[in-house]
Amino acid sequence: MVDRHPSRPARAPALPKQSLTMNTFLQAPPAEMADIFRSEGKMLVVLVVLGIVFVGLVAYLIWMDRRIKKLEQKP
Amino acid sequence: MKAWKILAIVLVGYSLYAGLMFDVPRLVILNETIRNLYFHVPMWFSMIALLGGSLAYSFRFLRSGTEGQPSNLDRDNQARSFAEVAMVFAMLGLFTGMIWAKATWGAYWTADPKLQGTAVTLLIYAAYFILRTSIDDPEKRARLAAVYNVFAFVLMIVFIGILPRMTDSLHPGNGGNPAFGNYDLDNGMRMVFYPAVLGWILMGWWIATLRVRLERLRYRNNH
Repeated sequence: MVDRHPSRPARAPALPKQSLTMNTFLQAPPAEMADIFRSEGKMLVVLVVLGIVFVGLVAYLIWMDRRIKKLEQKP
Repeated sequence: MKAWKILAIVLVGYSLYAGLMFDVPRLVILNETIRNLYFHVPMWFSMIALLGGSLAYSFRFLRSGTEGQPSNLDRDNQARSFAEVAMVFAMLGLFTGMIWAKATWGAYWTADPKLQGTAVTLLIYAAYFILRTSIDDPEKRARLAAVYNVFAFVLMIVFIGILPRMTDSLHPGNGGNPAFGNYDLDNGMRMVFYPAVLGWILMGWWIATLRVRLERLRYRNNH
């Protein structure tokens, strides 16, 4: 409980005392996360690019697998 | 195509999408880099799985030469190929870890027991490959390499699985530092992390078997 200082005018706007002290002394600032990044930053484009790279590598793996299989089947 | 190969593609593909798009806990310092858990850690799980496979093949090679039977050099081929692909995953794990460390610890490399342990492990396996190249007789090479591989695996477990847990370490999961304890409350992360681990292990297994089959073809061509 914080008492109002006598020198402070009575008409001063009341401060949200509790939330002020909580924010200043008890709570760490919230962690920064890329909140808008995903919805607005064309993040889906990055995902598609990543997807193309992944599909390309997997396609190469499958292609290699088939080629080796063909060689194995040769007498 | 075999079902487990399709599973590998599906799981890793899912982890790429979910790893970027699903919600993660909001933690200071880590911030969005917590998502690296889905991509960095599976590299090490894959390495350990592949080295385990390599160890099993080394055992099977050593057993194949007993009781008057001819030793099976193909088991040696399998052991070497699996160790080789495991080292590729180790490199990927190391480099991704360095990037993550720079962002969260402030340095690419620290004298941390976990990091030093992995560096020593890489050197131990480098010695495995050097040992192989220094012996010309395939039979002798396979036998010595298989015995060395057993030591190498045990040392790997000691250096990255045991010693870092006995001292202080920055790395999660070591020295009283929680690894998955942090995320225990977050089942959402488990739903991405475990599929990613399994997917990458299968992916590494696939690449290693391709390497094995290629080597068999070369052997057949030369004999």
